[in-house]
Formats: sequence, C-alpha cells, structure tokens
Amino acid sequence: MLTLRNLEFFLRETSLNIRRNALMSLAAVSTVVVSLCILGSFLLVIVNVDAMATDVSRKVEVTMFFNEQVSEKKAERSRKKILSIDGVKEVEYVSRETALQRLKERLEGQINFSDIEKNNPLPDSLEVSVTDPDIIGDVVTKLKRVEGFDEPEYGKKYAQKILRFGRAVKTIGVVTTALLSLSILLIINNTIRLTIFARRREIRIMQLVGATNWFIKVPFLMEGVLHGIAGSAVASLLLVVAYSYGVKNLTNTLPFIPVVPREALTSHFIVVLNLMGLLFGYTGSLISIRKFLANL
Amino acid sequence: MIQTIAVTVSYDGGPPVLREVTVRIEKGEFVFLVGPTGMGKSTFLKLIYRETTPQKGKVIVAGRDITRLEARYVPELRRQMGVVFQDFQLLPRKTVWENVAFALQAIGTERKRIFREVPQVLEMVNLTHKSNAYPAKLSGGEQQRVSIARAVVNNPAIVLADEPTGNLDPETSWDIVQLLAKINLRGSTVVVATHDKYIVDGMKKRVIAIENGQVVRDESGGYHHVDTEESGIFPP
Repeated sequence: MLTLRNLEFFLRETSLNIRRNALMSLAAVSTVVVSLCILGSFLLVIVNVDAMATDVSRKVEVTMFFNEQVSEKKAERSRKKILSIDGVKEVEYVSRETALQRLKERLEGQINFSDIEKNNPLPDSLEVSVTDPDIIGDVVTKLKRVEGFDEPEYGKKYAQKILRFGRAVKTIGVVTTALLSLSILLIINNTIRLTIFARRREIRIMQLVGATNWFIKVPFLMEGVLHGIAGSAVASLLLVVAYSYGVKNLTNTLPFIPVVPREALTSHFIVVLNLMGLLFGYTGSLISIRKFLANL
Repeated sequence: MIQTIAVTVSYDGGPPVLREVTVRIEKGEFVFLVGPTGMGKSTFLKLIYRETTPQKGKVIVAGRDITRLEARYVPELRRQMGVVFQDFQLLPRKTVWENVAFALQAIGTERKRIFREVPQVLEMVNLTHKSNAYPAKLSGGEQQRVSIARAVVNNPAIVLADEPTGNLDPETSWDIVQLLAKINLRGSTVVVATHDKYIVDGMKKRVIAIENGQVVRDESGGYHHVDTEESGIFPP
C-alpha cells in the first residue's frame, strides 16, 4: 500500500538513483526530447492538414445563392425540392443574418463589422452537400436547372485533391507516429534496463529481505515517468515556440493557407505530448523491470 | 522449523545437486552444513529461502510447505528469515546505518521502528561507532557484521548464512560465528553453510555433512568428520 512513509522512501530512492546515474538520466531525457520533437512535429502537421481538409470538405458543399430576397416559407420549399434531387445528402438554409454571423466569427477582430451590420450585403442561400464528392458534377448540373438561384458555387478539383492529400498525410502520420512511439519505448526501455542492471545488487537485497515486487518496481517506474515528463516538457516547450514562430511567418507570407492558430492548439497539444511522455516513460520502465524481475 | 523431505534438485537438467535429502531442523537449533564446495550446501539454503525449488520432494518452513508457494507469497516467507553471504552483499553507496535500515525500508517499515531497531542491532554487532562509515572503509569482519545486522534487524525466526567466513581470517571468522551463536541464543534458528573446519570443530554444534548431493553424516554436537582424502578440502 502506498503510504506516506513508503512514498518518502520511493522519492528518496528515485532521486538518489537519478543523481547517481545523472548521465544516464540525461541520455534518457534527451532521447525523449528528440523523439517527441519529431513526433510532435508530425502531430502538428496532421492537425493542420486535418483542419485544412475539414475546411476544404466544407467547400465541397455547393452553395446556391437565391437571386432575390426570399421568405422563409419559399426558402423551405426550395430546400425540399433540392433535397429530392438524386445525390443530394443535406440541404441547409442559411439566412443572410446567419451568413453575416458566420463571417463575423471567421474574421473576428480583422474587420470592423458595424457598417456591414447596418446594411447586410449577403444573400440568403442554401448549402447543399452531396452523398459522394465524386458525383458533385452531376448534381451541380441538376441544380443548375432549379430556378430562383444564381450559378451554383463549388471548388471541385481543388477540394478533391486536398482531400486525397489530407488522407495520405494522415495515414503517413499515423504510421510514423506508431513507429516513432515504438522506438521511443524501446530506447527508454533500454536506458532503464541499464539503470536496473547498475542496481541489481540493491534489487537482490530487496528481494532477499522480503520486499514485494511492487515495492521494487515503484522507484523505477517513478524514474521512467520523471524522464518521460521532463523530456516531454522540454519537447513541448521547443515545439510551441517553434510553432508560434512558424505560424506567425506563414500567416504573414501565405495568409490564404488556413493554419491552426497557436492559441487554439497549445493547451491540448501540451497535454497530449506530456501524456505521451508520461506513458512512454511508465511503459518503458515497466517492461524492463518486469522482464528483469522475471529473469531472476 | 525447517524440514526437507526426500528433496531432489538439479539445474537445467544436469545431474542432481541434492538427491533425496531429508533433514529436519528444530526451532532454535544451530546447525552447520558442511561439505566440499559445489556439493549442495548453498542449494540447500536456497531451498529454504525459496531461491530455488526442488524437482522432487517437499520443503517445509515454519509448518508451511513452500515447495509450490506462489511467487506473491515469497516476500512474506522471506520476512521471516535473514540471509548472510560470503561476499557480504552490502550497498557500497550507503552507509552502515543506511545498509541496515534499507532492509526495513524495503518492506515498508515505519520510520519510528527503523530508528528504534537499527541502533539496537548495530550495538549488538558492535558497530555503533561505524554507523556513518561506508562499506569500503570497513574491514572484512566489520562488513560481515553489517551484513549480519541487516539480516537480523527484522528479528527473523531463521538466519541462514552461506559461507559467512569464506573471506575472513580465522580469528575474525571465530568472532562472526560467535555473533551468529549470540543471535541463536536470542531465539533465531541458525543454519550456517561452511567448509571451515576450525569453526565447526570449535563450536561443537549439530553438523550435517552434504557430499555429492546427499547427507553423509548428521550428528548432533558432532565434529567435522567428512572424509577428506578424496576431496582434499578438509584436512584430517
């Protein structure tokens, strides 16, 4: 049972061990830093590509602007009519007020909306999503025949390319993340194995005096977790700084690329990365200490 | 206290190190296990502290058959015994005090008890003045006394010593065995594996001689009578 006196013993043993094997600890932490930096970079790319793909997939929708201001009743009739067309999945009525609201949210802080609000220039519209992006061309041909609307708007080729690209990047990202995670685990596992080997006499004595395996394991697990967290803390700091710098430069030079702002990402990203560090440290040391104890 | 019934042990399918060994050691006894090196003395001790298990037979400690004892109950068994080795097995980066306290800390003993027991046991082994010394600064005899202190700090019912005087000069060896005798008088059952004829003869305790994996002699109050002409290890 974890009591205060046991905790005190564990903490002392763990800190003593880290101090005694300072170089080894440094090696373990740096390994985690480097690995998580690579892993984190991949995550950032994935998150951004995902955001981009989501943004684009929204554009796969066909927007049909009413060519005149319509009542809600008329809009609903048109909506139902379009919904009955083959290949149409959903149709959403977007009133000019809603459209303005969306625009405001998107450009918040960048444009002064007070003038626009007084005289809303946006038309009412219907947003049509299709069951399959591949048949969007056919659907649009049918939509063009519906009266009361301007020319339907959509970006077909661009959308499909980006979606394919997004899928590819995600797949590569997932595979790379899995492989990197495995290698981090192996490296931490090896480092801890060396510290265990250096302390084999201590472990032996603990076993002889009747320490439970759990009691023997805890200082090593704590050490692994500390290495993992220290490494991930440094890695997340480096990545957040680098990302902020990158986002700032990118939005200045290529403003049309939708980048996830640092503020929207930071807290989640740091939590995920540190959890990964913690998990790697814990699992890596658990595997090696269990293996060591099993072989005795 | 300790009983082996027709115990046979072999390692990795090799020839048996112990063959059909049946021994009974009563509570509070002081027993020497003698015999040439590699003839099964250490294995006999390992059976008792459950470092090894027999292929055949039973090992009973404190009324409990430990032959098929589940791994999770082994720590509990070991808390009832203290083990002393020839090479002392001290932790070089811990002081004398810390080495002894470590045995209690490792089983989650409360601080108050550690601070009560450690000084007492250090006094018993006459090492109070070396509490803060590191093992490297101690003589062989002193190191073994620390090792004994660590083994008995938890007041174990059984103390097992595997060649405790193997690295020591005769005079120091005698002191160490006297210390073990003192521990025996406090109530612990003591089993000492040794091939040191001098101390066995001097102590006049029960002697169990193991040779080629079998008990060849078991005499209470006996001497060291193993035939030495073949092995050459025990002078006549």
